Amino acid sequence: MNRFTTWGGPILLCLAVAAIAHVGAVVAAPGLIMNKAMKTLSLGGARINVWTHGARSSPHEQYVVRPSPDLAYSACVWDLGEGPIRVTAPAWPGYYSLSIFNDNTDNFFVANDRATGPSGVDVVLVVASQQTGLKVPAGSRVVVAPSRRGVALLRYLAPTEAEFARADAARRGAICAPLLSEKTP
Amino acid sequence: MLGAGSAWAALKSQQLASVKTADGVWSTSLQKGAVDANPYVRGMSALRGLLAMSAKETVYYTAETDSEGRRLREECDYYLTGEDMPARWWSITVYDDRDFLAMNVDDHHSLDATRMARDPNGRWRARLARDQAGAENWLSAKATRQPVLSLRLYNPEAAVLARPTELSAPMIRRLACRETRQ
Repeated sequence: MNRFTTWGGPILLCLAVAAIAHVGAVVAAPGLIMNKAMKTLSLGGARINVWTHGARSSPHEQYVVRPSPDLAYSACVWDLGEGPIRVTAPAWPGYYSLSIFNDNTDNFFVANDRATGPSGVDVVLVVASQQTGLKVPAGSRVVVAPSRRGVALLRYLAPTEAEFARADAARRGAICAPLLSEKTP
Repeated sequence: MLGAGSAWAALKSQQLASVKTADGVWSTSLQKGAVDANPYVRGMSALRGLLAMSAKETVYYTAETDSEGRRLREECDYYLTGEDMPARWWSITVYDDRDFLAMNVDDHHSLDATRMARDPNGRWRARLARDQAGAENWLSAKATRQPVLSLRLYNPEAAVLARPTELSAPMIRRLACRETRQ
């Protein structure tokens, strides 16, 4: 029996297992990393469907990789399990955006100040099955999420301390809340 | 172990999921954040740029080497030179080798289009080093170990989306290196 006959099978089997593990790890990584980020951003699950307004990014204030110190970030970890939610971003004189990500990191919705009017961005977030009979507030548009959970993010351009303070005041009017129990922030 | 290790290395290196500018220094992927991103791009984004927006809103470039292809090092001093980027707003931010803002108190992690000092022709020059040494534009490399630069182009012009490898990206020139970290 030659060496290939003896070792060839086990080696090929190892390579096949490694290849499957490689593909599995690549495919699974975004969901695992996003899940960890959602836990962090929601303070361990305590803050779901509500905006958390971050302090100015610094070495001591950074919750995900590569934050920009030039932007004021707010995060809302959302869960549509109990029904649709309303997500808004108040306008302000400068760049701002609302971006929404599903649970595997895809950015399936984004709107910035140029794409919206003076009233800001206003969406009702649903999963496909929640569209029937949906009552949409005037001025809102419906966005269908591809997953039940995910993250919404506000970015207000604020490169200086003074601009950050102004952006912070503007974003306090943002809403991320269940559609039926929405309260004035 | 082999499979998971090779997956982590592939995602960390970004080689399988990005293209480079003509100088070979700045890498990017227009698929970042995209719903139709391939698994390597999605994994790389999660690992090194979580919650990145899709390319129409923002294009992100990364540099880890100088213009001669040498890995950026905290012990070295660099000059970046460039011009206004083809975008509504842009910034250059320095991170440490774990992709976080480095643990220093300099408050010079980023330079952006609104604050970058320029010459009369609109060109700018920025120092990347542990000390400012009188530079008007300074990115602190202190505690970065191996600095990573991120160039953000917000609302990029159509040419960037059509030909991302043809961006006239900042040059990164190494001046000198010290023997040890301070």
